[in-house]
Amino acid sequence: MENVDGDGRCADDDVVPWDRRVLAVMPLGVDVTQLRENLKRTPTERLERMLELVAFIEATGGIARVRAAKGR
Amino acid sequence: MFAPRRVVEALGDAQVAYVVLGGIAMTLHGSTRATFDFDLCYERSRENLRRLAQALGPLKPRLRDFPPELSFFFDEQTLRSGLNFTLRCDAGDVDLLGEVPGLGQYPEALEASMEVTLFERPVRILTLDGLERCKRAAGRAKDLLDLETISVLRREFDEG
Repeated sequence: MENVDGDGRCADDDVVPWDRRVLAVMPLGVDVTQLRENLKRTPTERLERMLELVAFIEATGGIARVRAAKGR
Repeated sequence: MFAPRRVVEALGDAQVAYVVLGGIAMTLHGSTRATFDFDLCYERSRENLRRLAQALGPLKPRLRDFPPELSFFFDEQTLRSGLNFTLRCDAGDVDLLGEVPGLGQYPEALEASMEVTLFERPVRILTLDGLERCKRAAGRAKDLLDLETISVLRREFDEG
């Protein structure tokens, strides 16, 4: 821990953005296969596909839960 | 019902100067995460505020998360008096940002934008670099996921 000072900060703290430090130790795991499939589509097709997902979430009542969670 | 097409068409028909941000911009770049609102940064000249009010007025915007009985007039004067507005309208939730954390105002958003074709119209959206600056400044859990997505997208573009 020789790179950690008295405040618990590392020498890299000022040069490496916070998100990269978090993701380095805790990757969230983006689905690359899904992303690659999406990149084959046009921007309009990507948006339309996402809206299908939103419509599904709305139809199943999920949006209320999403909004409630956002409000907390 | 969330209908970004209606927003894009209304803004395009009225020739409003704006840049698409947030989840919709992420989607247009290739992200697969669902988003439930349309975020945009708008230019604050008098003429553009008039166009913006004219474009979105027919969609009946009201303040989100405020009592419906609270009166709200969506016009040029209201837009000039405020800066950032979180609205609910007939086409879904729309956030109008005069200033974007991590980025600045419209000139900076425009500088960090690129043109894409959306519903057969030219639309300006934030670049991945621009989105990264916003997401890093916002710092919520979903922003962290978006930042990881941005880094994967960059890798895909570099390799592709």
